[in-house]
Amino acid sequence: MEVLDAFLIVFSPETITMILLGVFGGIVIGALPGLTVNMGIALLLPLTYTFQGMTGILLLLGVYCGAVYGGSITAILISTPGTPASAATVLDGYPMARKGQAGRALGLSTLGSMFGGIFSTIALILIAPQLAKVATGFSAAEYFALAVFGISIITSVSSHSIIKGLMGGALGLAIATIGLDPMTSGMRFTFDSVYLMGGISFIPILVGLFAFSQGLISFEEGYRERNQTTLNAIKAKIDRILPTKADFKRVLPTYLRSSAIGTGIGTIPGVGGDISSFIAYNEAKRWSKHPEEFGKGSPEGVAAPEAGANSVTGGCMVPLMTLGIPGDGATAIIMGAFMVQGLALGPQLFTDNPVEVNSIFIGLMMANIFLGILGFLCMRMFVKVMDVPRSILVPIILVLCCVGSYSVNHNITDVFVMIGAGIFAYVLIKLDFSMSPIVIGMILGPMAESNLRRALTMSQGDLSILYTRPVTATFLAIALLTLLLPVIGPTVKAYWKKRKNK
Amino acid sequence: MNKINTIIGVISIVFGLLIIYLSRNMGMFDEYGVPGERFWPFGLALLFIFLGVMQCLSVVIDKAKHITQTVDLSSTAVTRAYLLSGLIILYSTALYYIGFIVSSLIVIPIIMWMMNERKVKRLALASVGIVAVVYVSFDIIFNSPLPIPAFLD
Repeated sequence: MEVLDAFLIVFSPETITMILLGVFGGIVIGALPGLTVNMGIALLLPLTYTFQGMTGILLLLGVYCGAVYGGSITAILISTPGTPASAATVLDGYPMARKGQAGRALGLSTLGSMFGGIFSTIALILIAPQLAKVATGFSAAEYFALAVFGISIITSVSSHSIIKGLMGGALGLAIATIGLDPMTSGMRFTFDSVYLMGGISFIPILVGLFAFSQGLISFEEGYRERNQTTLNAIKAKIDRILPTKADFKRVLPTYLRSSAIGTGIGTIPGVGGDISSFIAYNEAKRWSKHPEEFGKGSPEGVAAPEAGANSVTGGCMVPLMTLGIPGDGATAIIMGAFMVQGLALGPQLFTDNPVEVNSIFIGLMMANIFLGILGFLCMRMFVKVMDVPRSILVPIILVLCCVGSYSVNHNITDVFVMIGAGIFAYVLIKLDFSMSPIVIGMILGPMAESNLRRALTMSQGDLSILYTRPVTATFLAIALLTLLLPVIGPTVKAYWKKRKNK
Repeated sequence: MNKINTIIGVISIVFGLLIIYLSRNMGMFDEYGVPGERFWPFGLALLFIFLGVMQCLSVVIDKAKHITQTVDLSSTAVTRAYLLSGLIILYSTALYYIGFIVSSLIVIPIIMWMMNERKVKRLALASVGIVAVVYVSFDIIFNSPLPIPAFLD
C-alpha cells in the first residue's frame, strides 16, 4: 500500500516534471565548468519551500544525479572536468574525443552514469531498510554518538588543512547555537534581535556559502581569463551517441565492478564521488586485458570513473536516510530540504514515514532513468551549454542567489545574511577552508547538543552513559579514530617506513 | 601564508574567548547536574581555543611547508570581486525599495559590463531575458512572490 502511495506521489504530473527538470538543470550545471554540484543544489534549495511534500526533495535529488553526470561532458570535450567527480574521466575521455570518438565517449559515459545510478539505487533499496531496523532501538546517547560520528567526517571533506576543516565545523556548530535553546527555550546569542530568536536562517547561509561565493569566484576567473586563449574545445561532429552492442559487451564488467565500488564508497560518510571515480578507474586498469590503452582513449577508462562517480549518489543516501549522517557536502545540503519538510532523517524515518521513504527510492530510480534518456536525446544541446559566456552566467547566479534567499521567508534580511555568508565564504575559500564542514556542523550541531543533554538528563548527569552502552561507545570510538587518523596516520606511516629502511 | 595562518589561529582563540564572555550569564548545569544553556557553547569555545593554538603551533612546526604558498586577497581580479559584492549589497537594498524588475534590469548589465561585455544588443537581451525567466519561474510558476517596490507594498 505504501509503495502504491509512493508511486502515486512520484508519478503525479507535478513531481515527475520536477524530477525531469531537476535532472535537466543538474546536467546543465554539471556541464558548466566552475559551477559545482553543491552550488546547483544550494541554488535550488529555496524552491523546495514552494512545494508540498516530496516534490522539492525529489527535485534536488534529480539535480544531484544530473550534476554528477553533467561534469563528464566538459571532461570529455574540453579536458576540463565540470565537477571533481569527473576528473578521472578526462584521462581517457579527452583522448577519445581527440581521436574523433567524442560521441562514443559521451555515450559510454552516459550509459555508465545511468548504470551506476540505477545500481546504487537498487543497493539503497536493499540495504537501507535493513540498516534502519538495526538502528530503531537507538536512544538519545546513541543519537549523540551518531551525530559526533557524522561531525567527525569533517576531516575527510576538509580541503587541505584538517585544523581549518575542524574550525569550519566548529563555526557551523557555533552558528547553530544562535537562537532559542533546544531544551530550555532560553535565548542564546540573540542580542535582543527578533530575527535571531529563531536562529540564523539555514537556507540563506547555504546559498551564500555554496552559490554566492562560487559566483564571485567565477567572476574573478572570468576577469583573469580575459586575455587568455580559449579552451581546447573539440569541435568534432558528435555522431552516434548510443553505444554499440560490442562496446556495451566490452564495458559491462567494468560498469558492474565500478558501480559496486562506487556504492560501497558512497556508504562511507565523507569519501565522495571524486575518490570513487579514481578508485574505479584504477581497478578497471588493473583488471583490463588492455591496460596499455589506458590514458590513450580506452572505453573502459571512460566507463569506470563515470559508473563509479554516479553510483555514489545512491550509496550516500544510505547513511543519510538510515542514520541521519550526510555522506558528502551535497547530501548535507539535501538534508536541509528534509528539515524544511519537517522530515527527521534516521531510523524513525522508515517507521514514521514509509511512503516518503518509498518515494525517495522510486524518485531516485526515475532520476537516473531520466538522466540516461536526457543524456542520449539532448546531448547536442548540453554540448552547446558550454558556449554560454561567463558574463551571462555570473549575473544569473547572483540574481538567483538573491531571489532564492528572499523567497524562503519573503524577508530582505535573509538576502543580506546570504550576501554576508557569501563574501565570508569567498575569503575563507581563498584561505584554504572548505565549506562542507560548516554545513555539516550547522546540521548536526543541534542533533548532537540536544541528544547529549537528553542523555545526561536520563543518566542524571552521569557521563558513563556515553561509554558503557556498546553502540554509543563504538560510534564514539570510530569518530575519535576518524578525527585522529589524519593527524596520527602520516606519523605512524613515516615511523614504519623509517623502521623498514633501517 | 604563514602570517595569515597565524592570524587565523589568533582569530580562532579570540572567537573562543568571545563565546565564553558572551555566554557568561547562561547556566552551565542545573541543580541535578544536567547541562544547561552554556554547556554546549562553552565546549565549542574551548574547541575554538584549542584549534587556534594548534593552528599557531602548526605554523611553527610546518614553517617550510607553507612558505611558498601565497594567498591572493588583494589582486585586481579579487578587488573587482569585492566591488561586485558591494554592488550586490546595493542591489539587495534596491530590491526592497524599487522591487525586483527595475533593480535587476539595472544591475545585470552593470555586472556584464564589469565582465567586459560591450555588445549593447547582448547586454539588453540578456538583462530582459534573465529578468523575464526569473519572474515567470518564481512569481507565476512557483507562486513565490518577488520583491515589489516599497511604495506599492
